[in-house]
Amino acid sequence: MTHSPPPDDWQELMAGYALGDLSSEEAEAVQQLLAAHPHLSSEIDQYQEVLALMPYALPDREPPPQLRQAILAQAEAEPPSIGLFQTAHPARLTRPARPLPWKSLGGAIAALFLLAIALDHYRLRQQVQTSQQTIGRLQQEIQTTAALTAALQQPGAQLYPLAGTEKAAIAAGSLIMVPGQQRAVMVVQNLPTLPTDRAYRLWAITENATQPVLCGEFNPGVLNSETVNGRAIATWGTPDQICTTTVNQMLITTEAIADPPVPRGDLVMESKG
Amino acid sequence: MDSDSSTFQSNAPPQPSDAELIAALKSGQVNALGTLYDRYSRLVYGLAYRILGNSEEAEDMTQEIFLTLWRRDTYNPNRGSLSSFLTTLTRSRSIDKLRSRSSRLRFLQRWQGLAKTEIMGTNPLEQASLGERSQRLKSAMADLPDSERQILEIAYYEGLSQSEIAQRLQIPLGTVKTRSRQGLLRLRQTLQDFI
Repeated sequence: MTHSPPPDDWQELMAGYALGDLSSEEAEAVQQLLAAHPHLSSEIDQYQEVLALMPYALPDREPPPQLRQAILAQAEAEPPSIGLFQTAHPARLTRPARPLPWKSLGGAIAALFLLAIALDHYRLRQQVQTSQQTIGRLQQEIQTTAALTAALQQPGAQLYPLAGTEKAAIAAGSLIMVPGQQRAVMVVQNLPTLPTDRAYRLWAITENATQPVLCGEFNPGVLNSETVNGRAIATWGTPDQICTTTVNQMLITTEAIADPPVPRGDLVMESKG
Repeated sequence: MDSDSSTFQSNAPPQPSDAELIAALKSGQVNALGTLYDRYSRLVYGLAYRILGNSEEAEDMTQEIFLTLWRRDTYNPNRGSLSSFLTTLTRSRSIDKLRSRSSRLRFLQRWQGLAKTEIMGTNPLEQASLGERSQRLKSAMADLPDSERQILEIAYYEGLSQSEIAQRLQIPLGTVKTRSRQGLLRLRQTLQDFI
């Protein structure tokens, strides 16, 4: 450690941050502390690093010997790093199909949204009849749907369909803003991963602000996001309350991470309707 | 600032570092994937097994994780250890799978910070052998008071929220928070020279 540690209670807050159990007041306190002492973010890194080491304490468990060959054979059959948004089809180890965990889904908005993605699922459902390989992918699709449904069921949730501009003509996605949690959940596909010093930024155009308001940033597979079957699912806490309230339009641009919160880069996606 | 594990292995023939293997991976060398598999498959498989509770799904997950490493250029050696990247990815995908199996539909709301571990700084623990790391972590976990270790393990391996843990253990929420934070503080202290 090259710097003096913060007082004890701050250590606990940082641990809480890494554990994801801060109350909103505590989260605010951490934000303020980090704003005043940016170097303290390395403290949080350390707690996160410690958590990531926990699995080393698990009992030693050897995977079955044929698994190595199965993975390498599959890798042989594919070029590496084919790009985030090309859907790859891993050869699953042969085994019986497992039941799909469909759960009852409620909510009018959710139903509308499900309808919208039903077409996408149709193709996958066709495949499941002929191939067990598809089961795994479907489960992930369902999980994506479930995640979005859960977000949509929050009180006051807003759904914004997103379409690519000419800069990202094949990009498409949906954005959900959840006011109660000050949270954005977004699913997007065909939006390329940016270099790590750049990110996509989400901006809200509102009647109450003269400038676009920064509502967060993401980078598929790199920042605030995971990728599931070629879709990036991004989620983050929104920095400004206005983001989850009266928004006329949502815009997404590409920016350098180090840039100030003013849109300068290319407009790649915008909300419709 | 890559951790170059080769400088720490005195007797064995020089082993390529994780960073070297990742570079080889990107140039399409399947052998490099094999070496990384030999190095980390027990960690990944063991973690997936712990979370998912059966060998079939743990195998599938292990396959998915290593093929992700092969297919996608998302790991950057300059920004964190491969070991942390793999455990974080395995944990997050396994817990997602666990949730898709159950009726709980919460998603990515907690452990946001953990996902960020993927891009954290290199840690010197990488320079120890797998066996040494395992020994060190086992003893660090064993040193924790039972009450703290139990909560950390439930949160990490089962992905339960603090209030769900409070419900399960029939203790106040405040106690769950205090114990998990104290446990993590203690763990970090024990591992201080290692991270």
